[in-house]
Amino acid sequence: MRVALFVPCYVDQFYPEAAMATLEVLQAHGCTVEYPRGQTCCGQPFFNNGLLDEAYELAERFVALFEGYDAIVAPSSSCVATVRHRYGTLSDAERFAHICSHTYELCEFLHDVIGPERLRFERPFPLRVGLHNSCHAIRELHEARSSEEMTDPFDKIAAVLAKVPDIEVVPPGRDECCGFGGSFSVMEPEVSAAMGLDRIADHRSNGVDLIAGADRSCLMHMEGLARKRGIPIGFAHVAEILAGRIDPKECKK
Amino acid sequence: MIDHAGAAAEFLGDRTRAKRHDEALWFVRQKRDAAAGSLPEWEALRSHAQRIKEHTLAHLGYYLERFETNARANGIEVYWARDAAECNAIVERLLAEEGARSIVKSKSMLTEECGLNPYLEARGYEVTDTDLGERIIQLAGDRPSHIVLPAIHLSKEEVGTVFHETMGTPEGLSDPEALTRAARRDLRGRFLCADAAITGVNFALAEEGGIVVCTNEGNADLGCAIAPLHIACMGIEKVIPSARELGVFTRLLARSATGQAITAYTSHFHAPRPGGRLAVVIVDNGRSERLRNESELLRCIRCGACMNTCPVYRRSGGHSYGSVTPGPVGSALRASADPADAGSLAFACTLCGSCDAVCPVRIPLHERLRIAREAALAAPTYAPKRRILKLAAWVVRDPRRLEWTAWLWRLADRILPGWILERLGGPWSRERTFPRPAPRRFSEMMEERNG
Amino acid sequence: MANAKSQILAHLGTTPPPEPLPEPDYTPLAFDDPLSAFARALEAAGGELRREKVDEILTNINPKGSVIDIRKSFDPEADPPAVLILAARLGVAENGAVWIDPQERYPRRWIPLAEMILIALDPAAIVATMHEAYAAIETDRIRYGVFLSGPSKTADIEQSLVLGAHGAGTLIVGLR
Repeated sequence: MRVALFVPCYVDQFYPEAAMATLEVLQAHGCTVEYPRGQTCCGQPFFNNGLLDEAYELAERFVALFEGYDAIVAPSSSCVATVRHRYGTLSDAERFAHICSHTYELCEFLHDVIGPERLRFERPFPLRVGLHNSCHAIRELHEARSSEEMTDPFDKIAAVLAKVPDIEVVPPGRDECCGFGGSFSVMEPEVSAAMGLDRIADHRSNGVDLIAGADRSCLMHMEGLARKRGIPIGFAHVAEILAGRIDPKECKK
Repeated sequence: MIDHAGAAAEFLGDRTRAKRHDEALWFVRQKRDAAAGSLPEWEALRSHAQRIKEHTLAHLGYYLERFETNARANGIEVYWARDAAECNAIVERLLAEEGARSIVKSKSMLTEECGLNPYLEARGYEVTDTDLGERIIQLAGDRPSHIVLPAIHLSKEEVGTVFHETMGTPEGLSDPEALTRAARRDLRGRFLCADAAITGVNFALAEEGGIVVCTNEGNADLGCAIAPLHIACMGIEKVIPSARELGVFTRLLARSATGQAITAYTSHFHAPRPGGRLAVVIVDNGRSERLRNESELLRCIRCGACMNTCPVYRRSGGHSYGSVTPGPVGSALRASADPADAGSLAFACTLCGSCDAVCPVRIPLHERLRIAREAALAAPTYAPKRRILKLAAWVVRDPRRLEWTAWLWRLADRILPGWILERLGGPWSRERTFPRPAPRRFSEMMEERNG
Repeated sequence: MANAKSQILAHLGTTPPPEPLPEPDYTPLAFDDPLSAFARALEAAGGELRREKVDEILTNINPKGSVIDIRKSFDPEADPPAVLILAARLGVAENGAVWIDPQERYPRRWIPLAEMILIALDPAAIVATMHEAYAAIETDRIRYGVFLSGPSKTADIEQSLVLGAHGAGTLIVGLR
């Protein structure tokens, strides 16, 4: 399968290890991965802040770069949600159709396309991991059932993580927003911080060793809150755990 | 102009209150989950409610006319008002006709929207809110902060103080049961000598020509059964085809609102009581205009579930929205109607989508808020934000510019002292540290690998 | 004001809908034992089901104030009684509500002014959900009618539930 790796701009600069982990996990599961040159941004900040002309231009750019692959995989559910749900509302919907339906968040791809029974992760991770599922993973990509929905519970990200030997995945008490919200984090810093600190406290009350999630942006916000206040808790992208790129001993403090 | 962030920060300043507010409403959300979960057909029920509302809104004029014809046949008077001013004037005329001076009122978001209470009070009428939550607010000279739980922002001690000062309850009395008894005694007297009762309308039935009011306290029934004149004010979107559809909405409303299976009173007023008058005022006030581009918002049945679930609302309090209806649906209504004044409401949202998932009529609330940001961003207040975003868009449009920016950031991170970086980080750094740029970007690693 | 009406309706259009109303595409909840379900729901709503005749309940309660039983003869001009005995047309298992329709035989105000309400319900008249309830009621004959689910209540002060906010503080359903 010819898979294009899409690395969101902030991951490229701040969290290259999450991107590298994504690449390795995909390759380990038999994908031929290409990393199209010249990728920048899916347009999410502009879709979400009312600059549609700019958003449209970036969507066009994205489609031009990623046309012709069997699948496009990214270590970020909010960027994938933008491609899947926002591009379709643009004028040239037909051209976007294939891209919209073939762009996946990593765990979603592993779960839905590769299949849970074929997942192999070698390196054990004998820790309690607090799984922070982002709102876009839950409520836009439907990678997990939200607590609001009255349907049978499922969680694809947890199911994928559970394939890692010795891991213990713990959901938080509330599957609530961490308060990042892109520009929200700077337009409403106090509410944003209150939300994030509540989520960190929720995870910590479960005695977890670190907090992991499929969206590094949410984790970046919570990590920044924790560091500023000296709260001792680690953060990692799920891909890093799947690829065995983090040493469990380093996390346990 | 509404400054949601500022008001929210102030609310959060009182940690104890903010925590109690969050936990009380999360508890209501959990009760809603349990009530919704008791129905295997819950999700299908929501979809059906959505379809009924869509159908009715698509043929609103037809159903309103049917309602009027059938209501008149039942002896109900029907009046039409284009806006708040007309609504208030009609109500006053009706009161004047009856020589009414003292009025008991049960909850009506529409009359809040129209500012009916201050309008009548300025003209010498004595208006008593009879829903306990609204009565507390009225006595406190406060504003409601939630559409279903108007006094949720107040502690029982604060209510005790208000009652002590206005009704003479013993100082320090803060037991909810005792306070409720005191309010009941005080209000009972007002009910018994009221000249008119004003209520809202939860549902108007086109086929039967009747209105339905849902309360837990029974205050609507009490007011209407005693006063000779009952005036019910409704927005044009309240009409549904017939009582048959109530089978759907009465199952959804209270479960979504408070987690009850149904409100204690689901009261049908299909005719004036013998010797009394029943007048219904049908109010547009901008709704028919809204029907064009954002008819989804008119599906709202005012259950408040989107407020209870909203992580921003729970932590910022209803007053921070500066609007009659706060929370997600209130923001969507206000921000789109008045982007210059209420633009901040469109941004008082993380787009988490939890509101959509609880809405009993499946209003795509976070999508409406996202769309509202377009007009909001055009307002002068947001000129700096707009410029920053435009600059960012210019950067990411070209991978080389993005590279240079990344290079600059890395340089700044290396050479600038921490406190300058903090300054540059603005509101982000007030609450958080900055992530450090990685020594090598992923794209650089790939260039090396491939090249 | 006729102007307001015509202007609003001109905006909206008044042609009858060409398409029929949407039909439900789900099977509503059903109960093996509707009476028990009704009892549970009523209890959750702050009321009580007693599996005995209303007259027996009344004897057991031995009320101090006046009693009016609308199933018997009464003076419609009388003051609201302390205990009002009503006959329900039906009960709803999913929410413990009963349908009360006075048909103006007695004053509407008796219902919210009574201190205690006793309701006579035929267990055979319990339907599962509000769908069936509305299908069973003659909705075109209502003048004033009310679904009562438990007593009057409020939780407006710090979410603490208090029964008897304005109306009856006690609501007991008995069998016919």
